[in-house]
Amino acid sequence: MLVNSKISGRIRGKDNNAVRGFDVTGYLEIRGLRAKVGSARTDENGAFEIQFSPSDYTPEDELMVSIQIEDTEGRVVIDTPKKKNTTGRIDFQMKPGRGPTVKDESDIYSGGLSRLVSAYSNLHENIDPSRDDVKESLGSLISVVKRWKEYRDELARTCGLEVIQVPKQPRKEEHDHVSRWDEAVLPS
Amino acid sequence: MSGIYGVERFTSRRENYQTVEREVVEEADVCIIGSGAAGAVLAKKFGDAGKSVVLLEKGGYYEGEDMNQRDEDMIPLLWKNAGAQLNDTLNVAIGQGSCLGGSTVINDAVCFPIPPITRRQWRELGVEISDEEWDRATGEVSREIHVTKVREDELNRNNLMLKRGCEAMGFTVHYSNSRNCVNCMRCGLCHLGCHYETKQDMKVTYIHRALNTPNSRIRVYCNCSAEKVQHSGGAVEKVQGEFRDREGRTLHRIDVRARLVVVAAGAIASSELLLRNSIAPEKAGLGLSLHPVAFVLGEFPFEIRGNQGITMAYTLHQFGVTNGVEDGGFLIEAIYLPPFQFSLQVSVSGERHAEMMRKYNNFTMAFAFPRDHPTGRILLTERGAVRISYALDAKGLEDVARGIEILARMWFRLGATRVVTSHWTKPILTKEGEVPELVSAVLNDSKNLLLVSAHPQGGNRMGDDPHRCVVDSNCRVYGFKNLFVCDASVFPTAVGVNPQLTVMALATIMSERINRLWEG
Repeated sequence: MLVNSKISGRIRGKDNNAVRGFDVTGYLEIRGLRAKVGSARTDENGAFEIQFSPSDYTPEDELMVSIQIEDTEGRVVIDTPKKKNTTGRIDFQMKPGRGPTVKDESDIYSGGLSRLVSAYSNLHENIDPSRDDVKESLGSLISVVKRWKEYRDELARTCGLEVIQVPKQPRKEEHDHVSRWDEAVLPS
Repeated sequence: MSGIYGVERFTSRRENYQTVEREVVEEADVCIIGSGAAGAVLAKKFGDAGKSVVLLEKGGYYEGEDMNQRDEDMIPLLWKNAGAQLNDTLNVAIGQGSCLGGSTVINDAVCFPIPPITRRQWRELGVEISDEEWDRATGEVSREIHVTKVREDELNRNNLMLKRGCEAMGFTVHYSNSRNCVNCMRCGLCHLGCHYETKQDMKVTYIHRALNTPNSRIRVYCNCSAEKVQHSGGAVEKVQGEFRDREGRTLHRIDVRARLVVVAAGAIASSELLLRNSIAPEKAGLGLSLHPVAFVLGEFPFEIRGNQGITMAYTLHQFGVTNGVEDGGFLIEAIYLPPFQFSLQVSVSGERHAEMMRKYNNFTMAFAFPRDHPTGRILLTERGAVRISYALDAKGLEDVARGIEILARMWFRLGATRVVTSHWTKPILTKEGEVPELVSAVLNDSKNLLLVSAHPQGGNRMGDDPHRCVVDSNCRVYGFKNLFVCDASVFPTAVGVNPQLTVMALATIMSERINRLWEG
């Protein structure tokens, strides 16, 4: 059983300053059953903490965690999707409010990877041409850059980025500003 | 009318934005080249003094909502040459921003004031800036960009590992950094731009305020590379630039006539521009420092998840200029890189590389950066390409080796199962007993030591000797009436700490001096 588990975090407004008095409710879902585990109100630093120590699930259970935020007038401003937690410590950093969605803009991301590869491939002009070892190093560097596409998705999963990243086209897809990590706990 | 202009087609932006469709001819009191830590401050300060300003920025205008937190998308948009800028022997990678706001958009937001030792040494080298000027300007900038100390509860596990390591090694001078960030969202992706705009970079602070001050006359041209500084008889007549798309194709041109021109394109690009235009040709490009860092990683049997949270929040000052070291010295700072940059730092290849990348969550990471002597040089090849000639001198190498040794021992002391270095012939250590071998490899085979710099400085040295220095203490180029260089390129030596606050303070001081000269 997880002990000293907690959901903690901080809420700031559009100007990035802390917001006080927002209500945060934490939910756990175990084997398909959703239950409220506690609630808290943000303090003057925008911070909140909900401690929990559930007694009715086993370490094998998948622990799904979500939270809901209400502003000082009781409006729900963020309702996060449930996501698996692995460490018993979840940190939420939030900034309610979404940017405008626009449909007809330049796709500024197109061709990024090929520009990245060509930038490295064009370094020949900038290196010392008399050194064979330098030319060899450049070859290795270019191969690492080219391989990025092969392992980026696996790496994003490994380091938890897929949970935290905003949409690929943030202006075209509505999204909450929530940065959520399952915190590791260092051995004492 | 104040606003931002560029080649991208945007329909919704916070600032007044228009797409450039044709050739542009401009006249202004001041033309500033570069919108980073110096250029943005200069633009606002000149604007506040009632001057009309044209600001040319080679990179694009991207707001927080454009920052999609993906390496392969953001590095080509925000980093100079898509991050591919290295010295001529390819063992020092030099990262700089190339977008509206410059490197302040992609840095880790670390803020240290210029150390007292550096100020004094610069004065001894002919830089006439008093402590009072530095203090006042640093205070003003710190308020504008909201510099605050990282709280204990904001230290992520990677930073806590450095703190624990310092305690385990008996070091006494180590503490949390200050940052220009308001309530950081802790996504750990500072190098890819701040999606949430909690980082107080130049775009969301100085440039935003400059554009929105009533009656301001500031026009910012993005995607615009300054190419020619046309001069005659010690006076700049006009600046010519080109608007380019993301693929580098020239779309339109701009001519700017200004009473005064300030080059603030950052170390390397400012020297490059001067060299291309035969300005101070015998002096420009000399005296480059890099603060080149050597990463040392420790692998642990438990997860650290160093990418989660504020990645750069703790520093060991014991051996640095901030702790009284007069010559050289080094700082050790915690850091964690986003996956792509991390992959370039792991100095092994093939399956071993893939195996290391799968352990991304189990590493702790920090680097040692020396206050290196200004021995590097920026030059142009016969074909006009920029070449950065740089190698650490004996003192710098000694400092880096000592820093690497401390970190390797520190990680083993904390229980690391492996230590990973950036030396190609000694990339992995499995026990502390191998550390002397690593130190020997660093000292005797430095060409195989991979270093990274985010702090290029020097190249257009400031000082009172017109034969050796490019600019005087007012940042005016010797021999010119109306041409100034104001950015990290004028530093006569490495500052010894993360330099953004010093650059902003310098720009504050210089803008006020130039405004006074103008009034006079």
